[in-house]
Order: sequence, then structure tokens, then C-alpha cells
Amino acid sequence: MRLSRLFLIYLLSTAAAVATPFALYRIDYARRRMIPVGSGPALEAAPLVLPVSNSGNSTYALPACIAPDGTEYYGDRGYFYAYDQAGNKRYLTDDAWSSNFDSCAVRADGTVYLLADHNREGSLSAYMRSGKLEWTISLPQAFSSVALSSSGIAYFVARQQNGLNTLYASNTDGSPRWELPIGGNGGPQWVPASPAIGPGGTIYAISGDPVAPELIAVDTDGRRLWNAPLPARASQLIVGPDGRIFVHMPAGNVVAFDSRGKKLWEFHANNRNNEGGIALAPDGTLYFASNFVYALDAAGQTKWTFKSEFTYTRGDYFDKSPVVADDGTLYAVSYYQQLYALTPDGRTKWHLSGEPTNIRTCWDQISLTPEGTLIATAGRLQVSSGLAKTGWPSKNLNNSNGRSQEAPQ
Amino acid sequence: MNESPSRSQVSFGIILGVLLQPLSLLMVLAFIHATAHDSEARGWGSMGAVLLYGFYFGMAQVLTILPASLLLLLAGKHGTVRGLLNVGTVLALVNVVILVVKYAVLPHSVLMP
Repeated sequence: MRLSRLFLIYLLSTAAAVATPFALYRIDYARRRMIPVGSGPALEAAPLVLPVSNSGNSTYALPACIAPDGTEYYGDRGYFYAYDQAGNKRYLTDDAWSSNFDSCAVRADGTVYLLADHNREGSLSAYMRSGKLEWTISLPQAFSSVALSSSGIAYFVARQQNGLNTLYASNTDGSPRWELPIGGNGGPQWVPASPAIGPGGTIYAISGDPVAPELIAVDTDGRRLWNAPLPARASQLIVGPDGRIFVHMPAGNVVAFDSRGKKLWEFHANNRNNEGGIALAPDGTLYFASNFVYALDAAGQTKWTFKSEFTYTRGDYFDKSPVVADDGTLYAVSYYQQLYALTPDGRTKWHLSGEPTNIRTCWDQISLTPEGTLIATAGRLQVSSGLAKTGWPSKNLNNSNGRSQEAPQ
Repeated sequence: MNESPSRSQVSFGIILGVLLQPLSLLMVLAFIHATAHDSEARGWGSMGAVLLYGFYFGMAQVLTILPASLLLLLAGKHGTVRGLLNVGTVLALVNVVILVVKYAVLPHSVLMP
């Protein structure tokens, strides 16, 4: 073969290698566009987004926890401050140089629990409603957020330096009540999943073993009641008012257990690994945000699946826990800055896009007040109803982040 | 053009073409290191370059095969050029086949119902 012809064949082959990925992308994009999605017209116009003075373009614009009296607590690096309902700002800590805010929870009496990390260790602090520091205890570096019992005991999981996870119970004065090693080493980047408290006071937690993770149930005296195996590393644990326990795994699974540890069902979303989350509606429907939003009935069967067009055209996915309103509306946010309000039967009630409008902030984890204000990074929206009063309607049950289904004392 | 290459020259060209391939990857890595604004970007870029090379080696070969072929052509080493072009052509076509098979066979997780 002539060398010039060989050169031509080489150049054509190389051109094919260069063009193939682009051609396949175009074909794939066209194919995705043809898949039917839940992109029908919205039933109503989206509410106005009202920017708030302290919003800016950061997640710090979102309250980390909200007290029953409406006081909103914010964490921003080492700053932890509160806005009361009159709009007065009050700093609880301003240790900007050596600490970093992690999470907070509010007890029914207004006591605020603050979790923060300081270089190589963490701390749990309690503040009175007035903002006065009651006590502080040191924690290992990696820890979960707290679950607060009706009697004021704080439960949390922390990883010791030896890599073992321990479930801690802390009295109302900060003194240790008990601690229970729950095993495992989740690896250096692993944040322990937060425990939750069932209606009877039983504490549920996830063991940190990445190979054979388990759901464990512990009584109020720190005795292990039962343990049940989980198929993969878990990131979220919620408890229904009927005592059913739901565990979300980023691998795309949700497993339901009864209060005795018997597995009721397991749902596989069968899609890629992402965070997402779960929420339980008052009617027992479990909403699972993953690549799509799934509504699962009491038997774990799919009632409906909401597939956004962005899922196919942009590779979008729902990366935060959904929020359930009292009127059944479900709010779900996606990685590509889309906020969807869905009806209980899976239709688009309204839809707000962070793109291509001038609202370019990510919606992040939204919260919904009892009065019906939806709080997002971009601002606040007055929606049709407040947070659902039963079930487990948001990431940490309610805006207090108490994570307990116990009846208040 | 000289159209009477020796078998040994062609073989040498093929071996040279194969040996030049790691250089394609090194060139990509050098570019990333030169343009990355910090060490974190360099780290991620290096990992990404290795991964990208694994998927697009048929594209990356042009960084070494084409310049080497042109230089050797000017030097009159036509047999070696033939060997190089053979390697480049095979790499490009194999890459096209792999990309098409990957698209057609492997599951598209995002498309799963």
C-alpha cells in the first residue's frame, strides 16, 4: 500500500476516534430527550421567592435548627447565632478561628445543643434559651448529629480514635449516662449516621462496619435489644409513628423494619450512588429521593415515580431529603438547582429552576416551617401549608432536629 | 515517496509506536500540571487524565504518533513511518470499537427506570 494512502487511513481512523465520543453523546442526548418524564405543565405558578437579608449565596443562609418558639439558629464556620422572631440577632459563639459548626438541635424547653469540631476533636455544648452556655463536653472527631429524648437525654454516635463507633447517651447536665460500642470502622471520611428514637423510647442506630453494617436497637439503659443486617452502608435512619424503621443507603436502597427488627421489605432504586434521602408522610407513604423521586406504599411497592426531564438531559438527581407538607405536597430539590413541588399523586404542582434565571444559588436542604414558609438558600417562599405534623416529614423529623417520635413529657 | 520498506523498519516502527504511548499520557499529565492552579487541582487532574487516557487512547495517540511520523518522514525513514501509522490506526479503530461497545452494552444507570 502506498504510504500516502496509509497516512490517509491513519488520519481517517484518528478522526473517527475523535468524533465517536461526540457522536455517541449526541445520540444519547437525543435518546434521553425521547424518554417520557414528569415534565407536564405545572398545575399552578410557583410562589415568589423572597430574598432574605442574611441569605447571600451560601448555605449559611439556611437555619441549622429552629426552636418551637420560632427562633432560628444559624451556624457559619465558628459562628453560631440566633435570630428571634423579632429579627434580633444574638451570637452564642464566635469562635471563628478554632472551631467549625456542625449541627444543632433544640429541646422542647428551648435548650439548644450545638455540635462543633475543633481541629482534631469535637464538642457538644448546651445553651439555655437565653443563650447562656450550660455545659460543654469533648467528643472524638467524627460524630453524628444528636437525637433528643423527651426527658432531655442526648444520644449521638461518635467514632473513637481506634476507629470504633460508640453510641453515647448524655444526661441533661452533660454528664455521661452510658456508652455502647457499636463496632466497625467506617473509614476516615465516614460520618456516622444519626440515631433516632422510636415512639417507645427505643434508640436506633447504624453500626459503623462498612462490610457488614447493622441496624441496632438499644433500650434507654444502653442495653442492645436486637440487631438486623443491612445490605450496604447507610446514611439516614428514620422511624415512623407506628414504630417502623426505614434505613436509606446511598447505594440506592431503602429497607423497612418493624419495631422488633424483622425486615418488612427492601426497595432497590437500582441507580447510581448519591446522597438523596427519605421522608415519611402522615398517610404512611415513604418518599425516597434518589435519581428519581419514588413514592412507596406500606408494602414497599412503588405508587409512582417522578422522573424529571433534567435527569435525562443533564444527569440531574435528587440529592437532598424531601420534605412533606401538611396538605400532602412533597418538596424535592435536585443537584442542578431545581425545586419541585409535587402533588401526593406525583404530578408537578409547581417548579422553580435555579437555572437559567438569575437565581443561581443551589437550593440545598430546604426546610418548611409549621406556618408554611419554605426556607431555601435562594430565599423564602410562602407555600400552601406547613410541615406535616405526623410521620417523619423532613430530614431530622422537624425543624428542631430532635429526631424523636416520643410523645413530649 | 519511497514505497519499498524493509520488514525490520516496519517492525521497528510498530515497537516505537507502542513505546511512545506512555509518552502521550505523560504529555497530558504535564499539561495538567502546568496549567493547574493548585496542588488539589493537579491531583484531581492527574487522576482524571489517567482515566481519560483509558477511555480515549485512540485520540491521545495522535500526540505522539503524528509528530513522530512527520519527523521520520522528513528523515526518510519510510518503513518506520509505516509501522507507526499502523499502530496509530489500530489504536484509533480499537478505541472506536470499545466506545461503541461500551455505549451499546454497558448499562446506563441514569436511564434505568
